[in-house]
Amino acid sequence: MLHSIYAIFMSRKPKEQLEKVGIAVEFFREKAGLGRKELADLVNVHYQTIGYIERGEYAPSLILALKLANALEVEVEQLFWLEENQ
Amino acid sequence: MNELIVIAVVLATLSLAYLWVYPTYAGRNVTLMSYMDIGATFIPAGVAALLFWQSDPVFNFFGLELNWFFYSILAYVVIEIPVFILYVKARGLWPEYKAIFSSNSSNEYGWGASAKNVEKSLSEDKWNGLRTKGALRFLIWGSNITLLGGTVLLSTTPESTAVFYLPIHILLIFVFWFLLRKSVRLVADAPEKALDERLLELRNRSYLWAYMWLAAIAYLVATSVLIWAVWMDFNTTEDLWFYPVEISWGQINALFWLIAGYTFALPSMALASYKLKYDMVD
Repeated sequence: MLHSIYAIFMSRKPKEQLEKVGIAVEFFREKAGLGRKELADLVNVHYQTIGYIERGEYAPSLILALKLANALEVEVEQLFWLEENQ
Repeated sequence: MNELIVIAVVLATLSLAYLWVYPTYAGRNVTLMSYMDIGATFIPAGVAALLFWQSDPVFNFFGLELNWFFYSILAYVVIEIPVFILYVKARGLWPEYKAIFSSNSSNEYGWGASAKNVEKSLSEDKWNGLRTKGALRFLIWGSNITLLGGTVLLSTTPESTAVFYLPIHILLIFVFWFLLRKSVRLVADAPEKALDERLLELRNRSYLWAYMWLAAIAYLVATSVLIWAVWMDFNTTEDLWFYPVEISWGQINALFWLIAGYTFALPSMALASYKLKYDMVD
């Protein structure tokens, strides 16, 4: 019974969604000459959050995506886009 | 005479707390001061336990007959009220206290962590040693072993041993809780204001996990009680409707600290486990 409860509660969800999203935050951040901490301060998030976004491990909200685009002076579609196969 | 001994311990504790500990270590952080104060409340009770556990004399509180535990707690609370009011007034701490209870407080204060403290914790590296995979595993296992092992120990040992282990058990619970909170940068106990959207999602997820763990524990306890009742029925010829339960003071304490310990530590414990499982270690 215990292993069934564990299996139901703790099963890992596949990380599919993020793998199909293109991300260019790191490229434009470096192009803008900003460190993660500096960009994080500009968009009011913790610096680790920038790292998670750049590695594709966290999908930002629409508001945060727009703030990032604004801070890096690019269009939001240049930072995030859907991959061809979707 | 016994009453005077307890009052002397209360006065000594209050002097130390209000003249040295609170001004030095809590300063204007009233949340921290409140936690320290809860701890200090039990110091006279702890001393009274050492002195009066065996003899168990009756204490007179304005005509009310009490045992050493309730007398020491009540004496502390009553004597502390004017001291507390004077201290808060003298140091101008009312605004900080009012802020805790104001309508906006859920946004400013989480489960014992203020927005200011969380912001500080998010940017410090002093406790990074607690944030490695090995340290997180140690803290999760250590706190569970402390909580469960201590409960078994307090429930099964004689009262004379339990009275000495109880303060150590309580201390260990608070030490593990403190370290767990540091290891997850107070995120599990943080108010919304202090977190960005990812950390907020992480905090909320840790509460979901904590709830699921708590539900599983409650379910197991309830099932055990049911099984015990059925087992009692099989072991007697009578048709039982009421079940005799004998519970000692040590067992009551064991139960209280098991529930209290998990209530305090479970969110941080769940968040630490979540970080380990999804490889999100700092």
